[in-house]
Amino acid sequence: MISFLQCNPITRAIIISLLIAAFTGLLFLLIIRWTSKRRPCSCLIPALLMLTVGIIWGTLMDAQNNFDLSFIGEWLGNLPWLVYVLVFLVSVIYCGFGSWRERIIAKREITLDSIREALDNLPRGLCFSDEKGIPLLINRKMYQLAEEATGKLCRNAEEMWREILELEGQKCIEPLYKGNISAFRWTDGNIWQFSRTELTLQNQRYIQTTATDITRLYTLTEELEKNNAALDKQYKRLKNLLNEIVQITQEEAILASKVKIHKELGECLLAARRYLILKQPEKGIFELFQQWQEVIRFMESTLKEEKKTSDYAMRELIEAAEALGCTIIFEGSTQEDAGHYPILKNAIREAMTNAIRHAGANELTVHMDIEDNTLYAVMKDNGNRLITSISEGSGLSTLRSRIEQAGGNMEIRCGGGVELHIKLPVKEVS
Amino acid sequence: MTRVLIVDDQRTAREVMEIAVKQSKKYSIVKTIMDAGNAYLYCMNGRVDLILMDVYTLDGENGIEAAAKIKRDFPHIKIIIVTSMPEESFIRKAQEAGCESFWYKDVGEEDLLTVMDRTMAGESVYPDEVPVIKIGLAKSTEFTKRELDVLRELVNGRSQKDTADILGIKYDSVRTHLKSILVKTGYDTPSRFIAEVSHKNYMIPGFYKSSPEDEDTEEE
Repeated sequence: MISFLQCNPITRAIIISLLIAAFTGLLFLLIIRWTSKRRPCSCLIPALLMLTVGIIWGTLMDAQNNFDLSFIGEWLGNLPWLVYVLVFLVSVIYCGFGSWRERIIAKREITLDSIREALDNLPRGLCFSDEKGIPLLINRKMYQLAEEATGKLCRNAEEMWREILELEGQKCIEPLYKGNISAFRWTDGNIWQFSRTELTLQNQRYIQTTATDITRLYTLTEELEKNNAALDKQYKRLKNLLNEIVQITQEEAILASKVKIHKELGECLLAARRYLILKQPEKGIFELFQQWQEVIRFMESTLKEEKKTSDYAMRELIEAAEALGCTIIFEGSTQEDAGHYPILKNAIREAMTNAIRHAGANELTVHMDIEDNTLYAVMKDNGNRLITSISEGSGLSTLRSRIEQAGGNMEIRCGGGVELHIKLPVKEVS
Repeated sequence: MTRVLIVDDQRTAREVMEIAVKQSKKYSIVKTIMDAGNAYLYCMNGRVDLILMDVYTLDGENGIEAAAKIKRDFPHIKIIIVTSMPEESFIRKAQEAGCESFWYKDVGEEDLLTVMDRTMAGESVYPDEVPVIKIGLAKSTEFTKRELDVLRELVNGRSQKDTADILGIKYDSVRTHLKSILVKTGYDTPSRFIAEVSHKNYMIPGFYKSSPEDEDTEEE
């Protein structure tokens, strides 16, 4: 095979250009690796290769121009031309493989751009700013929301926050307040909630502003409220119905007892008539007398006007307590109304049962006050046993759920003795 | 001497029971009260052997629930549930609560004293069935179990669709059951029929739920 120097000038020029191309390719790879600042040693191989190709290129240029031929030039010039084509091919393959690997690594790596891209693809709006409100990172959705709400580009996060919150007069969004949710309805019907949190990173404070799409949550909340209202109505109707039924049953029972009196009185009269006039005694005088007594007693009790049940209920409880050796003392401004609250009666009963059983008490003080349509009641016993904690059994938890259903709340305080604090809305129970 | 506690908020019923108990030398009355919740307090005293307990007492206190609580803490006390309401679930609920006996005030075939004697002798006396009442053209015994379930939900104020969801059956089945009920009773609309059912105390709205499975969700 002919050597490089024996080739014609055109072939030589082509070989030289191939070497220049290989040199450029290696230089390119070196620059990529250097700028990615990843592994300094990964720059070493392309650098060495580039140096070699450069030296070969320079020496061959010297050799073909018949300048001062050093022994390296002479030796390189006499190598077969195919060697240089191979050098070129090796360099090109190395460069191609190297840059392909670089691209793959770059794809896998998290860069600022990839963070931005990820944030832009988030369905929620996000903005990071420093303490003065200078935005550091805003995603696409936040830009869009801020522009729709304020009509201009977001330049300052503080300003944006203020403008969105004070936007009551704005046409494009409408503020909504439901329970503890404060949100805005956008013109497209979606509902956005804005929130801010403070972050500290390396002793530096940053503010994160988030906009969340709560359309579904909001509609569900609305639906729930509607359902609750409907349930409430249903419950009240049921309660009324139940009361009516009880009344009807009682009326029927009263009627039945009237019929019974009528019948028994009739019997008595008949028996008395037989005894006195017809002289055909069916029963002895003593028996007849007893029958009359019974009928009269029954009549008397039926005719007696029954006391108001609400007073009676509380009186019965006090009596039952006394039978157990426990006195209930009422205090406070509204003590005489105690009987009007069936739930309070239940609470007193529960407190008393526990006080007698666990604390050995013989006195229960019930303090009642009504303020702003709310009944405040505190139950305290004089038990002598130290109780520091209490586990809520079925009685107390049933009581708690009844109170909470009526819209009130219950609290148990332990510290020496046990105190039961109850709050009840007045209109619900009276 | 057996010591008896009477719980009933209807005065006449109370007095009928008092007279009955006083007639017998075997029994003495500890106390007569109107509120089922207070029965527990008298039991704490340890002076009660037998309770005659009404179901629906003062302020809507449920006698069967009170009985269950007493049975849990004082299992030796015997309890007879007395009621005038032919509500179909009461007998089952009383059995679940562990009550010894059950007596219908108006229609009881045996008189109260016999039931008390048998109960104290260790027997459990329950009526064979809920008193049969007439609703429209039908007798209360003519309804099937499933029809009663559907009926109870409707009496409790549910819509037909909710009833289907609660019972876990199809909406069409609810309609079929309802239609069959209407055919049996001869009513033309469900609402008239339901009004009749609650008026006759066959089922009391909101007092009990249909299936014992959803006991944990408090309704009241």
